[in-house]
Amino acid sequence: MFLVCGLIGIWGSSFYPMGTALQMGPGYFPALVFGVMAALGAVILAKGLVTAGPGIEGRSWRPVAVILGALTVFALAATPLGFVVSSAGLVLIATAATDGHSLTSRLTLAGVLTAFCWALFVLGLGVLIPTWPWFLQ
Amino acid sequence: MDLFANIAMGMGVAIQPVNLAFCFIGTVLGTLIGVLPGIGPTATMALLLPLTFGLPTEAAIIMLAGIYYGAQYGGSTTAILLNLPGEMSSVVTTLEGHQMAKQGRAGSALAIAALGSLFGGSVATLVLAAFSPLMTLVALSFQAADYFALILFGLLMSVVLAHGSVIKSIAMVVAGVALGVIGVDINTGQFRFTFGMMELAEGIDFVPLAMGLFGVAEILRNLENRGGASATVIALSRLWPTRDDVRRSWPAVMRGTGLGSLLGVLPGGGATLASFASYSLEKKVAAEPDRFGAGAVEGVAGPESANNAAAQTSFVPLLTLGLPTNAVMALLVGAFIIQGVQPGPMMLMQQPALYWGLIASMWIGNLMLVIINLPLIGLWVKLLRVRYDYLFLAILLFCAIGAYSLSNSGFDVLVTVLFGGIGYLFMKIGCEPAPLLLGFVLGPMLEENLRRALMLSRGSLMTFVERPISLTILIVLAATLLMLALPSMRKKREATFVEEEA
Amino acid sequence: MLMSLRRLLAMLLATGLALGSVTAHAATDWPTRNITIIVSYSAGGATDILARKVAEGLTTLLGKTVIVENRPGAGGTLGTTLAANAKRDGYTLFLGQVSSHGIAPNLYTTLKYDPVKSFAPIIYLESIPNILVVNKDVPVNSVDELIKYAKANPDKLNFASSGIGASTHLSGEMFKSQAGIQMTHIPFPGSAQAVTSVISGQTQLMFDNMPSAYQYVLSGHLKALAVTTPKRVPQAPNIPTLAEAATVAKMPDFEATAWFGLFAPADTPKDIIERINVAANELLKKPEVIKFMHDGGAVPAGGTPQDLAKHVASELAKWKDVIEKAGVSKQ
Repeated sequence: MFLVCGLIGIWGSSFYPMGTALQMGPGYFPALVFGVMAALGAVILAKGLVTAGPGIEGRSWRPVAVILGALTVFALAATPLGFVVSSAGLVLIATAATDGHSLTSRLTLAGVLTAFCWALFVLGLGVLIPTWPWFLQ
Repeated sequence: MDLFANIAMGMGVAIQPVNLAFCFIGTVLGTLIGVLPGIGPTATMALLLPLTFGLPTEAAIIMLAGIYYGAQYGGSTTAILLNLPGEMSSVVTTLEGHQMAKQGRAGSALAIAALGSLFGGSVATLVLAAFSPLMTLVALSFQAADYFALILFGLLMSVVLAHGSVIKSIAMVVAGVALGVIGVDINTGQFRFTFGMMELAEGIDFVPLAMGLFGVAEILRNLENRGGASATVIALSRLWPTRDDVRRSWPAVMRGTGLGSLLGVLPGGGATLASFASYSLEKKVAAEPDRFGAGAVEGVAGPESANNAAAQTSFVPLLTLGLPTNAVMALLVGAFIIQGVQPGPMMLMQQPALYWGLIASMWIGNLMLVIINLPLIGLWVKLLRVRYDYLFLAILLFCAIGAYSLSNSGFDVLVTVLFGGIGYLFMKIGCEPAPLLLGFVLGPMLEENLRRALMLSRGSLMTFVERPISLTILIVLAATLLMLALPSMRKKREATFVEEEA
Repeated sequence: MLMSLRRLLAMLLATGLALGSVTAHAATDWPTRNITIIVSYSAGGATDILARKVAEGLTTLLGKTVIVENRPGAGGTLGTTLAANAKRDGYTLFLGQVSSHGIAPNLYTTLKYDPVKSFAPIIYLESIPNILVVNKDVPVNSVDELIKYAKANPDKLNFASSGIGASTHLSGEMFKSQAGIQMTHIPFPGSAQAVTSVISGQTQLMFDNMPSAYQYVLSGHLKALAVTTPKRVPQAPNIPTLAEAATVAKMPDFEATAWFGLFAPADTPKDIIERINVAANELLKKPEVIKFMHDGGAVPAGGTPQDLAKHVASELAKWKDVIEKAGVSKQ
């Protein structure tokens, strides 16, 4: 619980200086908002200090890192390397989040999902995403 | 009566085989894109716009309108099954709908959502046909100060969205408002908090934010609890609502329809406020408000009918004045113009067949949606039995493609990643993301209208109490706050709060 | 020497052939694949609708499909920047307008394109007049009465616009300074919201693009006082120009229009530009296209790439002046 409140406190107040740094008209509203946010953060922190509760349970960082990593790879690869590479890459990486997949099943999944999504989104709905890497076009 | 003659004429247009066919295509397509996370009606309609060049005017407009309300419909499916809202109105649906799905009542939630939507949509269409001119007047009488009061009211009431700590949910609303500040300031053209990134100039898009906070965070949580309770319970899913569900739902549907029909007319926040105002209302009038947050069927029925009713009445300003109330409506204006019809005050006189044909097609379209969707419920529920190992990959890929398609760049996918991480963190510290999204959507409107109201009044705060609409809303607001502050209420709230902490 | 002669010959040949028949196979084999027109606004807007009409026409005239790609963002500057950096092979074109090639370069200091150096002009497509409309309850019926009313009621009038730096905003600023009156500018996020506010009486007047506002004049929701073109508009011959209507304050050279032109990235081969120009000129002569533009309140243009270049230069100079006089802060 302390950790929780600490996080909120930092999260709330870290925005605060940015609010006051902007003085003129456009900064007025954000300053107000961030001010309220910091105040609320402080209250939550104070409450947390008084009533100690249970800590965070279940910290398993592997799925978090793997899933967010897989999405990041897709984000960076989609435009230069095209849909096929980035989609297969996302599936191959994301399957590492759980233990249940052998290499064969990972490759099959990547192939099937990529083909299905290509047909649905690129062919069917006309999403503007290159299919192949730029050097193959 | 004139109205019936007109509706009859509209029906005559709408049941022509060509128009029926395009209505069907539109609603099916709408359902499909609504179900797919991230692919919204705006993008689809933009893609299809050129294809409508060759179509007869009625068919083109009927199809595009079908996509719009079909997507509203499909969106609730994903919200209920996967906790993945595609827009603000489905955020509200996730609150109870996904809880129901987790308890194995996905079929029931989907059926109630479908029937509630049908009712809301049909009644609102009737309202649209009968009272358009009157409702236009209502929409026009809302000025900046009134919007400000209404939105402020909405934000403060959003506390009821969450069922945990009050102060945390207020903090989340404020955080949402703060996120909404990012982008160009419309009053000065100044870039704010864009950190020099041109991609941020228009602000953060709603879709990657919602997909991150809800969809990705949900995947992370499920992977963590893998093999736990949630997967097995879902397998017990039953298809149809129980008699108890129906009994609880119908008054909620009625209230939701009323609220939705009224609020949908308002430009901008109308449809957003409708679904969530209905949720708040249901929670307030419920005999046991504690059930909310744990799969209360009223929390699905009310907002879903409100949302669909609002989707229909948001056509009012478009049809009577040619004024689009949201991005989808703006696209429809474009479609009208391409067809050589200028939507606006002259349309009813110049193109009565088109006007009434469109209205009649909305009924038919809503009916079609239920007919398409009820049999699909079985399929959707089966989908939940797919091993999560496989399912989450597909969801993840859909999210990635959906985010990418928003502006055809990886940037929005990165935003999804960021908020996926933040959403996971929020889950850990017991903060619920729904109020944040509401703050995010309404925040910019709050600022815009506050500053516009003050500019119009030359800086006088009195404007908020001088205008009758704004004064009324502010009085209701003050009364509600007072009620919340009353000791008895507070005790009750704290009781539930403690219960949840324990 | 020989090389350049041959190139010159090929170019002349290409131009000649293009003039003869656009669909015939020219010396260069362009186009061999689809051509894209980038639009820096969302689908359904004025720029997008025009682009789609042009794309449809060019598809038949050039024999390859012309696609419209919407790249909205950053007030329209995102798409413009993308177009400026596109490949110079004639397969990417850009539908430029008063914002990208008139106002934005004078308003933003952080633009990553140069309206003159980054683009090769192709053809001036059309211009849309702005129209000065007032709420029906404002007690004025002419520009002169409006100016007198504004002087008698200082700081009472509000004028709406579709956003900071839009032609609807700067027209208002231009009017303010030329008439010597005081009005408060109320920006809205789009034209629809702005015109709604004038209809409901929240604001009193605005300079709106003709097609979106004129219907409310016909329906009696708004009163039209003047158009912002040098000549009267054929679609509404009874509305005077500002120069004619303003007698208490002289504004003879008041011109503020939303205009559209087709551009390519700079250094796109000249023969390709020439071929598109010829095709587009042919398109602008089609009765169906003329009717389309007329219905949209627009005046078809046309001419050579040089004509568009001249137009861009004069627009850049004019808006620079307006922005400086109005004291709009640069970004």
